[in-house]
Amino acid sequence: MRRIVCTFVVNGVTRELLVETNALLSEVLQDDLGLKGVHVGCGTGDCGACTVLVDGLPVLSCSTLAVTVRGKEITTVEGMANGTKLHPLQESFIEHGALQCGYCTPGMLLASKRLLEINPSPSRQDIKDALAGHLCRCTGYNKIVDAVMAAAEGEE
Amino acid sequence: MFFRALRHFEFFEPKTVAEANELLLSYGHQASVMAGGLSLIQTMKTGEKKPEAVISLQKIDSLKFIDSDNDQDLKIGALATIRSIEKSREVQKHWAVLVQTARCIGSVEVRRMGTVVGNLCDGTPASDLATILIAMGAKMRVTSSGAEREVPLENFCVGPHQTVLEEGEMVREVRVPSLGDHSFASYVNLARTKPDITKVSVGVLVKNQNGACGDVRIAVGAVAPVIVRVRKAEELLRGEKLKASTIEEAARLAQEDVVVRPITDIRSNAGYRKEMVRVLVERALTDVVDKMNGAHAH
Amino acid sequence: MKDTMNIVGKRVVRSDSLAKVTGRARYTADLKMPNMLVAKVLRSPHPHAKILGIDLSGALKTPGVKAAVSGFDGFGIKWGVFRYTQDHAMLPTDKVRYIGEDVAAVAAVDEETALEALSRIRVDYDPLPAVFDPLEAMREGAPIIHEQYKNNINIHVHIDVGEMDRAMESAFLVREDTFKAAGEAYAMMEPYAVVASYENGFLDLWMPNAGPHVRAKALSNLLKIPLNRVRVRHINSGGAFGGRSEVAPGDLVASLLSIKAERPVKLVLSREENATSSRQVHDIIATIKTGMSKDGAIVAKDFRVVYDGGAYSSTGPIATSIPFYVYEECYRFSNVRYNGYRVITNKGIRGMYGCHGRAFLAGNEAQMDMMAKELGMDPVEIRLKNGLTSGEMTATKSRITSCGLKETIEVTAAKTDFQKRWPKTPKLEGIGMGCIAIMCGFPMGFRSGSSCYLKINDDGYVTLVTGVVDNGQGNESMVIQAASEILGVPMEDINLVNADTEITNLDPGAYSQAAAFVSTNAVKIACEKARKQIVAIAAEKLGVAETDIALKNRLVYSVEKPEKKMPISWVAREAFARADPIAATGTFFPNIDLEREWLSRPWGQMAGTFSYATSVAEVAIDPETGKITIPRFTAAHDCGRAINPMAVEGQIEGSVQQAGVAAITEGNLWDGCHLLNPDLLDYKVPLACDMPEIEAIIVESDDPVGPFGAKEGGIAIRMNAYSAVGCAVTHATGVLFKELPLTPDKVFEMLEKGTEVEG
Repeated sequence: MRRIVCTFVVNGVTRELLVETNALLSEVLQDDLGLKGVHVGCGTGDCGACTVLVDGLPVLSCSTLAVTVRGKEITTVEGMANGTKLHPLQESFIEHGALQCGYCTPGMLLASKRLLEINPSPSRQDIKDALAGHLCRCTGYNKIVDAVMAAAEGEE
Repeated sequence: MFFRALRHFEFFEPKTVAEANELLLSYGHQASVMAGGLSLIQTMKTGEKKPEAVISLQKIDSLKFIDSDNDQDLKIGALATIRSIEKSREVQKHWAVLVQTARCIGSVEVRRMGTVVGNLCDGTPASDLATILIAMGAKMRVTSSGAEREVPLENFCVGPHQTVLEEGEMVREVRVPSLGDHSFASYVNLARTKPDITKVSVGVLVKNQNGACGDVRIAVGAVAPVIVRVRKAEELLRGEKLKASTIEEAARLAQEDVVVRPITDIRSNAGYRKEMVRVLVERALTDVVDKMNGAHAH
Repeated sequence: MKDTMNIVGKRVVRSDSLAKVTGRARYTADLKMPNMLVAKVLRSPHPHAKILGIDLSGALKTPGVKAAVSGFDGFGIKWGVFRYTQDHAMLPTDKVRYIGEDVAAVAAVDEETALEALSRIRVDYDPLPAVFDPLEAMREGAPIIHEQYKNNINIHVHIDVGEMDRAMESAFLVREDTFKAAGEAYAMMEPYAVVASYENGFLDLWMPNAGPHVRAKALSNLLKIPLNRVRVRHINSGGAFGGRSEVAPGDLVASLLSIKAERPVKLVLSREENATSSRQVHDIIATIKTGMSKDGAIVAKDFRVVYDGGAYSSTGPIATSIPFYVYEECYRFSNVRYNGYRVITNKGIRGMYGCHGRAFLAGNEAQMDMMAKELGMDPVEIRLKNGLTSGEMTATKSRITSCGLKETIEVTAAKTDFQKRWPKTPKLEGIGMGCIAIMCGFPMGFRSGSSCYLKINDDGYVTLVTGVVDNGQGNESMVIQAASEILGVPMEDINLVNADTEITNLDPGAYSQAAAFVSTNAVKIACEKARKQIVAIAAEKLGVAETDIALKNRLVYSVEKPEKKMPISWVAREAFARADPIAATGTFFPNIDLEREWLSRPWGQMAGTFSYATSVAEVAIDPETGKITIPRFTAAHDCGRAINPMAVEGQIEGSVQQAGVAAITEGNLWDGCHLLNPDLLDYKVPLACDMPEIEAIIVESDDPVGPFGAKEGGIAIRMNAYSAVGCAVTHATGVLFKELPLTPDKVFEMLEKGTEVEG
């Protein structure tokens, strides 16, 4: 097989696409679906910028064949807000100045979303460990950890 | 259709191990097996691998398991992810050292995508899991069309990224012997940042025989083309009480063992690595003693 | 003024945050245009080789290929920031000088086709002997990489002030040490990308850049297109840190391809290409000889610093000078000799870095601690003793107009209980302090200033036009915040049009830490002019004195009788009716001695002002493995006035990571001409879990010229955080550190050496 008709539920919308088997998930999301929030930083799974949620779990889209996640629900940062209402983590990142160049931000947000689902009241260390696969070159991570802590506290 | 980092290939998703074996046989060296995909996709991006066919195991449900038959061997199927080991209650309870080892590997995302068997098949001498699993005496179950064989993990790699797998073969599962009440294992490693590729690692398994050291296995990672056992140190310990001075001597023997012949590379240098073998063997054995004492206290 | 401000000084939400948390922020690789082609570059496999010929015909015959270019398609012009550094063709026709150098390129309908075409380009090389070590390159008989640079010395900065030799001879205490540091990778999270679109004689370009105007100038020269037809456009940048200030070879490649193909062309570098073939940071070897008097005053400094410059000049004279200047802007010494050599080697191209000069700066600081110890002083005392104060002159005659160095030293010392802990920390625990100053803007000739234009639309909303550049620091938000304060409208009412060479005027860019002091001053001046117009009309309409007018919440009102008020939009409409719309231009040019030249006249006022900072690192060392942990970092920054304290803290925290923690993890590793860690796995950018607890402290010295008193905010920590770590490790081990990064193997050696000394 070189091409497969695939169905993905991307940010809640069902999309049917003819996907080349060699296409990476990041490529399909960026090129075919125009999702700018998917950022490829390294292409080797070392920086975490390309992270998306597949059935709710953070996955490195630069290292995933798109056809292998057909039939699944994919959430990118564009799908975090509920209409115009931002996700509490998005609100918190804004409020705490948890971003600078913004390139790592989508991956940070999606990984934090998952973290708070399984650990609603994390310690600072829990957050730092959960985000260990997400490189940020600008912030020193401090305000990112602040933002996730605050979002967790707000949820309780 | 602008950016496609990978070249075209035929893609197969067999539903059974037998189907996978047949595909492997017909494509031979032109085929690459994909479990989690992390390592394969990287090597395809760099051009180290240019497979004609990629055979994904992901649809073979029978490979998605972590089983332990009533406290006996732990069986980890080819699709079990590293993350699933961390999360398994059975593993947490009876093979806690594997959970601790798993956490040294990459990020949560990498562990969620990467499989245990895939990590072992990658054949790097810096594999955290392989180091502890060799100490624990794990075995690989290898299948091919109509045949199945078992290879001790210790003999599985013949060089960096080179395994004994032959054309048409794949690993179905890895089996880890039960630790029982009397065996204690420990894993220690050094890396540059917290989750990172290991620069030196030591896995130790000690069987407690009436307060002395019974069977013992010490595996050292990232100091030779394959993970090695330091047998002189093991011999010294067998039958001995694990006193501080004995541990120190064993650690020295480990450092001086001829199989320990590290190289200088981007992650560390040879002299430092050799020194650290001693430090880590000492730490791992000390940890085992602590665990023995802890178990005794209970 | 502080108490009367509504927006400046507040922790406001950055103007770009919403787009960045929702994925709407656009980066270069996101751009899509009709008929756009994908470009791929053929790179040199040789560190040094003559180009005998380049045959593109095979590539051009490949179906789907629309253009192929090499240097022979250009004008044979070499770019250099200075007249005497014009050595970089970007696509060479004579020789290749490093592995990974751009040699030829294709534009095709898709990536696979482009790659196929690349494999059909034939380049005939004649390999030449190469040299990779700067000290070897300086020796007689070493292979010469550029004919014009004798002994491969690209730049020699020679500064000689006072009577160094005599002062050194008469010094009470003299010490000489040599420090080395591996060059770092910028490791911006966004790999380099560029889109070029040539149409009707206009060249449009998008790329992450820190200075669109300088970039446009280079391309205008290289392509012989007038500046008003080279339009470098605004786009988000995924980090720069100094590495995106200069024109990149990819800019020329994409432009030439687009001109040939008459279609838009996109070039996206891989992470590896970004490391090998965009820019890197200089490796440095610094020999530092210091003479001190008995009371700890620095009486003489003799420096010899060698910078591995890679294959081309880049901003050579600046890079060779800056570590010295930031040091002399911090400490008082009147007898100094500085010999800085930038040496060409067959390695990748290098540029300025936000943390530039760590071997030199950390070396000076750690050596000072060793000398202080001999004199019975502690690090705090010796720094207070030698630190410059407001009103003083630096060795090369720059006047300091505001200086919070003392306060930053005192506050970090107090917060960490430094002086109490220093004499009695347990073995293998250490505490170290690093200080530095930095100029707010380098002298860039007529490019040193900034201009801003603004208009108030007939609905009262504001359009602000300035060359200010944002690479993530928050510069865009900063100028909007300043305008909002002066014009009395909320930040969201202001539309910023910036960093687009078609409309914006010259600006230093996000280079030389000039955005707060220079660019924001220009914005402030423009806004104040517009405000004057508003006030005049409103005073007349409301029948109150101009001095009684205030602007807030989109209203103009009387302070005495607040019921007398009118919306700013009414004033704007009135102004249109009077044929004098509310529009203003503001220009700020800092007080710089324009006669100053990096090589020929290295003295005179360097910059309009200088910012100051002190970092304190606490370390613990594992005695058996040499592994360092940094549990706590305290950093205080005199940024004049924090326009947005949250943004300044973010800069400080990022600096602790990029300079401080990096001092134990980061460095490019080379095997001759091969970069061994061009990725993010083996180049160790510190992770979240590697980070210390950070206390970021803002010190406000209220600069007399800075906008609202503001100076640069953040880079100063970037230039001293490694010093704090180097000093702390020296303190913990009792052995002067000699090399960065302080990886465990190096610390292990230090520990063994320490034992020998004690033994």
